[in-house]
Amino acid sequence: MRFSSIVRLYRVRLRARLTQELFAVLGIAIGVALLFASQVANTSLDSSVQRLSTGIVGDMRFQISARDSHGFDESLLREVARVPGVQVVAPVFEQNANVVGPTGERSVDVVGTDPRLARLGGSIARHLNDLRLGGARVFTMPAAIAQDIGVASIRSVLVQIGSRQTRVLLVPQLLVGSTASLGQSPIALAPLRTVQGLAGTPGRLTSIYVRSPPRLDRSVLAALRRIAAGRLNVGHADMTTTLFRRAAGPVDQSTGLFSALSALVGFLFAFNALMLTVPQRRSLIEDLRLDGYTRRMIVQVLSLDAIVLGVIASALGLLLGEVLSVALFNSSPGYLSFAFPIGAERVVTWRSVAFAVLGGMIAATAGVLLPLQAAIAERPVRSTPLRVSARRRARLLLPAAGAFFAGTTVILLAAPQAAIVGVVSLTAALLLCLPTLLDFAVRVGGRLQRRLAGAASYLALIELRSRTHRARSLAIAATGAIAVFGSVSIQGARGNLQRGLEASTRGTDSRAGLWVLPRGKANALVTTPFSDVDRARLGRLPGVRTVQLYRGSFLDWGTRRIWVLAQPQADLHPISSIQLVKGDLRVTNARLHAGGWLVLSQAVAAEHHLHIGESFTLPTTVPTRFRLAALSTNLGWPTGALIMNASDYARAWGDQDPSAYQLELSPGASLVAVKREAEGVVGGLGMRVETAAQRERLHYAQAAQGLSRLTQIRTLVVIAAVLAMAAAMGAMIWQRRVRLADMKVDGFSRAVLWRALLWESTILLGTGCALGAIFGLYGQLLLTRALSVVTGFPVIESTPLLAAVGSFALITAVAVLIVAAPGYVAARVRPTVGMPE
Amino acid sequence: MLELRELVKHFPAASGAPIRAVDGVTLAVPDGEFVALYGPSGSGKTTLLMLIAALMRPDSGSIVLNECDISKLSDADSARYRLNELGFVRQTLNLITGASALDNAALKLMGTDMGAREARRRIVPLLDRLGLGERVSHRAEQLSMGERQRVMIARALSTEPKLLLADEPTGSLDSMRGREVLELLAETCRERKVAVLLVTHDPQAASFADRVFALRDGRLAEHEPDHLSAALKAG
Amino acid sequence: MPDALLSLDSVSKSYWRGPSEVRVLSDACLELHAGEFMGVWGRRGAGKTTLLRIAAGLETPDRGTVRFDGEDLSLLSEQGHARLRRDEIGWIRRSGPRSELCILDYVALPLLIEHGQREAKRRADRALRRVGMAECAGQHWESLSDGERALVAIAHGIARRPRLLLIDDPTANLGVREREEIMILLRALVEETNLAVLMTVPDMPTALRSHQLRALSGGRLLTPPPDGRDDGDDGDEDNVIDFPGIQRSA
Repeated sequence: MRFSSIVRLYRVRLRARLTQELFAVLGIAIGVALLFASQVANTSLDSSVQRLSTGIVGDMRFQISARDSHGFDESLLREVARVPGVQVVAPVFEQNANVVGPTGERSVDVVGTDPRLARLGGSIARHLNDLRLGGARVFTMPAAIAQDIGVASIRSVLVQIGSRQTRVLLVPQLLVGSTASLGQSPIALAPLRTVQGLAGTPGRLTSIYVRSPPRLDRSVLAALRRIAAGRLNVGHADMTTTLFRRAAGPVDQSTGLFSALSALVGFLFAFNALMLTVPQRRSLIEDLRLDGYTRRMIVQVLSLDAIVLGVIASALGLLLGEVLSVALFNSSPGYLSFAFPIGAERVVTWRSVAFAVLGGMIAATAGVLLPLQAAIAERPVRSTPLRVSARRRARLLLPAAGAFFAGTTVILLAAPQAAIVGVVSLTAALLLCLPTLLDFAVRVGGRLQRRLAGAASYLALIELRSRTHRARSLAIAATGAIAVFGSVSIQGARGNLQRGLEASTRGTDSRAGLWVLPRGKANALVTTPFSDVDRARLGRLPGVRTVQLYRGSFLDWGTRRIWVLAQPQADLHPISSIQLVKGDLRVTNARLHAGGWLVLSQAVAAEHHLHIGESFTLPTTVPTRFRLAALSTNLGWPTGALIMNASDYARAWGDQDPSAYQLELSPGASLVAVKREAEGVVGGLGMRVETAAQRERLHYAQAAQGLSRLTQIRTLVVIAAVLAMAAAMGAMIWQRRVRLADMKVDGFSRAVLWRALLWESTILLGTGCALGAIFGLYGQLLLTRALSVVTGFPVIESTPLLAAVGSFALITAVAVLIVAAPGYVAARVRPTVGMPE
Repeated sequence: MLELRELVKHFPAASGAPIRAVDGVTLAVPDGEFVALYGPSGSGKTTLLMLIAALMRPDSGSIVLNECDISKLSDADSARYRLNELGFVRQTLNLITGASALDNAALKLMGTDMGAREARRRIVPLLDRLGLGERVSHRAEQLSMGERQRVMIARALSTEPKLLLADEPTGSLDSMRGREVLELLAETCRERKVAVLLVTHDPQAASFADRVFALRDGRLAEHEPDHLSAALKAG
Repeated sequence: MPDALLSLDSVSKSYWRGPSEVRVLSDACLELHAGEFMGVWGRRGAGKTTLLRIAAGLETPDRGTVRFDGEDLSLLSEQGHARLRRDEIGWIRRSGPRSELCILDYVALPLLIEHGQREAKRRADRALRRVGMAECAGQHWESLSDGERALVAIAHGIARRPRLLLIDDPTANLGVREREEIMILLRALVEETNLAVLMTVPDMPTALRSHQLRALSGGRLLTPPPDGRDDGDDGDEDNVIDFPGIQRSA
């Protein structure tokens, strides 16, 4: 068949089904948009870290890095340079800082490096060449970030690192005049000496980057390991990216999973729309086959349908997805920014585009070809009735659903990490159950109807029993089922996670009446050390009983950046029960208090094959042997946490600096008064004083923000589903006008017909949504279990029955309400509509 | 020249004896002849047409069109045969709404290697001959039932087949339009030397044929037109 | 003579087809009494179906009045019209149910507005029995022959025991013998139940089976000259003027 003929045939048929085609385009576009937006959100995070890291280090091959923010001595640089095969070495000193401008403050990652790196390193580091303003202390930041704190041109700002504050000239990146962009990453660049000066640690480095020919990888790496002597980390130059990926994994996973779920709803929408034209297309195929078109020609003709639909829908979907990712998915998970320089820029990769378009094309092809499968495959005229095979297939549905359900249960019990497979198999079980349940609902409805009498419900049941519209009825019910399923399971898992996080946070935050710690958002997890200078003065304040030292930081161990919490030695209960996964609470607290023991997140311990009671060396600045007291959750930090006492910390890191003072108040002392007093003592030093309640609130907000994307996706799922169902029902009702008109001729009144339509919608949508709610409860269990096992987040498992019923009722009610309008209009049809003129 | 020899097609029935849809039919239709098969519904008329159109295989017997045995064609070959050698007109008028009469008539030609311009060159005179000269660019929904059926006839004749099968072509029309359409069909086919095999239960339609056969329970009996009119009268 | 059940008084109706106005009915007058069977014959597009629709109150005439049992249809509310169609006027058409209702359910459907399921089915069964289709009650529309469909359509129309039956060309697809059977059945029904029937007919032989005959031409309802028909029960075949098959074979 000529291509031009295929195109002509497409064009010829287009006009008759333009509306349905547009609906289908919209449905697929919604799916593509959701896939695309979530992809972009994920890769943006990933790429912004990666781009920064390569932007700074360029084509460097390896790095040696310190295990704390104090770093190591510069003399190591010479030693590394002497390693045979090393061509270039670049020193870097990196600190978390709080930059205070005229209108606000921002936490940034200050990277200090040698102008040597500026020549050899990545594109971003080249800015440094322009920053040599005659010895003045100068640094640069992305213009967008500088603007945030009210700096549009060169001006002096306050930089706080730990408890140190220094005035420095900030040159917004715009003015530096380089083409490479830092985007909107919270990062500041300065010459090495400047940053060392700001931190008050001259002659210190946090990492050294090395360039060497790839063929010498092994020998160079070995030499670097020798130099590091177990006190420093050695790895590839893009280690930060690896660490980040690990940390962002759970968010990526959940976003991906939930996006896939919502995409499925979008595609069902499209499928519904395509179902509308199935009878027409089927009779056309029959005609064409009679006229001598071969099966191949039919497939060619339909393929063009699918391709055009897929391409247009994908293009629209990408556009929508772009809007969605800018408007909704742009908020990066806040908690990750404490440990990584995450930019706010969006990065669109070809992979995201290809992935989304592929999804769209598959949906279009499936939507066009699947309903017509039988018509294509059959000989042009049926000689045997189809019903037999359909009934045989129906008998297989429930066992198949049972098998999928069993599979899901196996995954839930034995391998919750395969949650995605579990959700897919649960969805399959759900869809397979649906036809049987719908039949059952219709049968029960029939029983009830016989008692109730009334023509409306009877008419509704007749329509539901009809085989002609079976596929579409099922598709509509399936849309509702999946929407409620997704909504209930996402929301349930989210709720469990949030409750877990909050309980866990409470366990940490409520240890002291007041916290004194360095300012800056990046210090939310209390990981910035400062010089211990004010302890005595704080201790003398009236109302303060004791001042304890809390220490905390991040430790890069393997591919994980672990959150370290070192509770004051005096604390008799350093860990709370919600945080504990395995081990005895009393024994663990006693061991932590005694020292020499620590608690690791389950996932970290598993990765290093550590068991409770086992002794091992912790790779800190001063590698120290510890014994594992118990296993904990990750305390809300995706890659895991480590709990120990503060004295052990000082020993293992060789560092006496605290990250926070914990103030215990005397009985009867006023929290507000003591807080004011304490602020008087430390306020000028770039420190802040917070009550436990304040910290809890902050952490709750952060947990909620981190989980906000789940809520957004859930909302989108619900909106898409309600629209999809309403549109499909509406179209179905509209197509039925002729028959409604016929019934009017027989004396059925408008009210009866309208009621019948509402009955039908309610039964159809209600059945689907009810099944979705039941499966949703199981789904949330699966997701919760997966989150707790895979990511180690603290969760509190519960069965949100009320929420499930709520979702079910809400979605059903909204969809029925929306359907009511076209139903009313259709019921008003003139009785003569179907008659020949 | 179409020849049917001892054609048999039975269908298994849910209970009891198989349905003898076509039971030993032998018939020869020379080029350009108009033959009607007249019989009540369920007499096997449609099955017979399906067999001739190679949409079904006979249990036994042969169908030979211009020395080629239709019943032995592969799926692809039978499609080619339907495309090039056969025209098929049915009762149902599945026109594509929104598309013009011309486009609807050209649907079959699109399946051949013919370009759009040449297809048009062939279709327009055909539509003209069928009395649709002024309705060529009208959309399907603007056409009357009779006009729609004429478009379907144009579609069937567009590939210049030697044989036209018509399955109750006037079923959707009232008697007046039915007569007009049949007249046109008969004339056009006669001019083009296309053999026509019409199946119908309508004696009026059957009366257009050169020869009329009665089909009852899968068997054929020659039916003189005189008998037919007598049957009509006796009614 | 008692008052007419259905009366059309100077009814006119025209449609716009494109830019031109087509006058379908023009001052049409008609009176139909209980127990009368009237056939309306006319060319395609002559306005037969429009006439039926106006009689059923499905369409309002441009001019003139339509009365059913003395009641002016134009004064009825929507509810009133629905009641009329439900209780008084049966409409028989060629299309069947599209969903997979079995024949019994199809016939019972309009009865459900007023009756429970059991009663509806009982009445439907009775109607099917009357037209001789009781044994097809469990079958589906698709599996019926055209003749059987016509019978089911009649059962569907009479199940509610209306006083007026409007029939739109029920015999169009049928063979001669089947047409004949339908007409005989309808005549029997009229005589049994004092029903009034207004029916459009495709051709003269069928038309001649009705009690009264009207021809629709140019928007006017005409009564054919008395010699055109015989009031007896056998239609007069000699009057078949316009039948192509016979002419050809002659």
